[in-house]
Amino acid sequence: MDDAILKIEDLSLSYGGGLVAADVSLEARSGETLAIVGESGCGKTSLLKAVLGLNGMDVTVERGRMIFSGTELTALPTRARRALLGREIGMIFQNPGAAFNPIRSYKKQFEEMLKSHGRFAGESSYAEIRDCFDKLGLPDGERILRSCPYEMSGGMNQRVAIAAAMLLRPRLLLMDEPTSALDVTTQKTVLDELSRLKELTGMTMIFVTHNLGAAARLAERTGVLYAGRLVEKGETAKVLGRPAHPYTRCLVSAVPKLDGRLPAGLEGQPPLYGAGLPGCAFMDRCPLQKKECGSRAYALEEVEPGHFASCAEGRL
Amino acid sequence: MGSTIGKRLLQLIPVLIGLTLLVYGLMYIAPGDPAAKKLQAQGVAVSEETLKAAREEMGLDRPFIVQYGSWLSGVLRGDLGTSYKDGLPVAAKLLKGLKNTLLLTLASLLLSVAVSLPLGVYTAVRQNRAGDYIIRFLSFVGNSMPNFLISVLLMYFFCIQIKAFPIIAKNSFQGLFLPTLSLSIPMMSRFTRQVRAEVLEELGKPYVAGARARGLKERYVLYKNVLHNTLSAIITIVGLSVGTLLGGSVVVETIFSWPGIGKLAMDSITARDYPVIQGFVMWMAVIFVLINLFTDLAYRRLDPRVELGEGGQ
Amino acid sequence: MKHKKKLSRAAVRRRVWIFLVLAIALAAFAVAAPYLTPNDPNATNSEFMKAAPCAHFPLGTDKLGRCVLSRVMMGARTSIFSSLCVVAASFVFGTALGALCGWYGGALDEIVMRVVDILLAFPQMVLAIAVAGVLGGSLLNAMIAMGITGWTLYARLARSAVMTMKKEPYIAAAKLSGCRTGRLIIRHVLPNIFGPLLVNAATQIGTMMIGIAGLSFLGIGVTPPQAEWGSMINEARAYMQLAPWTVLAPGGAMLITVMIFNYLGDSVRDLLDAGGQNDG
Repeated sequence: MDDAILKIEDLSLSYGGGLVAADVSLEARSGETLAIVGESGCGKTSLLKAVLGLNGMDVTVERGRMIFSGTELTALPTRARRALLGREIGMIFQNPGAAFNPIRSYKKQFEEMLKSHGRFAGESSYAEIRDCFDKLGLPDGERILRSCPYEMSGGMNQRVAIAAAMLLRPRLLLMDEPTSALDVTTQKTVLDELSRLKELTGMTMIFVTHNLGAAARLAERTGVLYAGRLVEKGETAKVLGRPAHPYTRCLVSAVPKLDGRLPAGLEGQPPLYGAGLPGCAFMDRCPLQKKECGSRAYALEEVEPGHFASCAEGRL
Repeated sequence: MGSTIGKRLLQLIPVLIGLTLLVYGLMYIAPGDPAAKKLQAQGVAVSEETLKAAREEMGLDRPFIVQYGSWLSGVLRGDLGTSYKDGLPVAAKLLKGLKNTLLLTLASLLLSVAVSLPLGVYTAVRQNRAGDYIIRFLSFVGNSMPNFLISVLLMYFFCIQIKAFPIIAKNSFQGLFLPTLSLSIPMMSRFTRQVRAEVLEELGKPYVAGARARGLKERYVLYKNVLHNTLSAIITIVGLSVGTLLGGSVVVETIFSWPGIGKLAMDSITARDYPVIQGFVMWMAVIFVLINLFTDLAYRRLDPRVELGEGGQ
Repeated sequence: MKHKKKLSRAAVRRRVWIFLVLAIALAAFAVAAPYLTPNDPNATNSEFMKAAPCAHFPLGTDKLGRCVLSRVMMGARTSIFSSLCVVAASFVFGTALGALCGWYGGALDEIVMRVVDILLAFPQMVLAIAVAGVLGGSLLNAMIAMGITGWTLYARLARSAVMTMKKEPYIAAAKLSGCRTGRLIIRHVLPNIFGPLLVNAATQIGTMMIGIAGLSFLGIGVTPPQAEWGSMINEARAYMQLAPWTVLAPGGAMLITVMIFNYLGDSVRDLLDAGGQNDG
């Protein structure tokens, strides 16, 4: 009945002394992709960092819970948390050249990875790796294995990182803007590969991005984050097709216009640490701003079945 | 790569000429008469005639350039001259001393690296904890102590207080121990701090987080990845300290009477034994340049990006 | 993915101040040494040779009955002053020469850079020993010997900085508006590299001190009866069992002094690094 691989409940996070996320509640259901969209600095990367729980990421959980397959993550000791990495929870990073050691061959690094999970079986492992590469459409797997990341393009490195995730088959795959550092053509290739990954493995994925098109393509459900608060969430078709919150509406209509101007509401920047502000953090940029917005408490309401928003003024 | 080696070896020539010219020039203008010293060493009375005869015999009455020129031509023929002090061929004396100095230098390097590598990694991983502070303080002290002071203290403690070693170092492993320790202590102090800095910097790089996120066991992260990437920097650090090591060996060899090339140089300087000093300068320069070259090549081999001329990513 | 910030900028600055004050105190002490010594550092006493520390001789006496404490204090004067001199001279000479090379280029640049390469192609201490040994034992010769290679790093730093800055448009603008070359270099270019130059100078002080003491120890630097830590240790090591204070006093003084200057150099370097870091 509860097939949520990851449940985030009323999570509030701080980073560097300020509140970067507040009262976020999200679910990633088994086999589904959850997209988290928003501008830079809205806190979406911090969410992933909190879930991953790597040492030294400096994201502090102030309130709330993260439940992974029934286990409360913050209650786990460090060692147990560390044991989840790679095998249960995997991550694709934004910077493609930086996930692997740039000056050692992929072959050695894949081997170490498999050995760390007790899955290295000599030649048959290499065959398995090449098989993954093929399935994901990566050409010439043998050459890739022999190469070092610094010799390959960003796009290729990202695709290899995705292949590594496929090899490990984590139950939850986190992706932090996997295509933002790539050029447009390569982005499409990588997105194709992610699609294929989804088809082949049925992995549960959380896909953080500011690219609405990618979210629409890959994700069954989407959450919209603004200044650390979830302003809208639900089935992707509904959230992006019939947005309720004014901010989502602005995002959706932000198709590049020929005269180069952004639509009203998207000039300027979200407030830093806006999650701590009283009232609606989007207020100052909102074209539909009303007087009550300053004192309005944050709460998600169901706008229609499977679609929630903290403000429904954006509905047409 | 071959062209680099060739180029560097070619650069050696002006270096050698410049250095030997400098030292020869200094000896020329310096006080102290080698002819007088030689006569004294031989027990001959020093008088106007004997001095004049000695100087003629040693070729010291010729103009500076001629003296230098004849030395140089000798070198090109493979003849480094004969010592003023005892008439033995310079090359043979240097070679014997060189063997011992290389032994000492190698032993010190090995000891320093063997101690500082694990300590450096340990203090980097356990950054800002008690162990880190203690080790860092100790290495700071070790780095600030002059090696002659360390030698004297070690000698006092080991030779006099606990009588574990003889005062004059025999040419054996037992005799090697104290000089090696004296040379190593400042070196390992410096190395530890540098290794720590390199490892810390490496640990902050994104691929370390990436590796951990893939579930890589920590020992793979540390030893196969971080240490591998820092190895080139560490080799450079080691290579760069050879110069200090050679300098320190002069002092340490003199104190412990270790029959190396440094002690030979000191004795020759006191005795104004020009040919030996010249030969010594030349040999030192060659060794030094060769070691720098070797370090450079090793560096390139370990970090392939340097070879291709790429900046880091 | 940040590691814990080592120290805040304020803390680093505090460290620099502490060690700067200590260093200046040491230097001041060195200046005042002749007036502060309890006994005449050169006066020998046949009744008190190798005497243990007592009221009259707080750190004992050496084999000639001279007061160790007084000699250590005078030695401080010698060591600190000579090192500061050599470093200051190297700093000024090296920076000036390097700046000129970088600015004018051409034959001057070629020659000076070749000289630098030659000097650096040889282990520095060994060259110093050779030079000092050949020139003979005296403080001046020791300082020359150490200084021969000491200026090279400043020259390289200054040269590369000037070469980079030369291409900047504002330099051309200043030149056009009639600014003289010298003023140009001093006021516009050098302030940018002042940091690294200063770090190098601070760390070099300790090296110079150890170097000069080493030369004196070998007998080719400061010679007795002048009080100097290195030569004192050399003199005293023959009878170290009988009078360990004769070695430990100058040794300890040397260690503490070098440590203070090294800490100073470290703090200055940290300050520079912290200044360049982006916070957050």
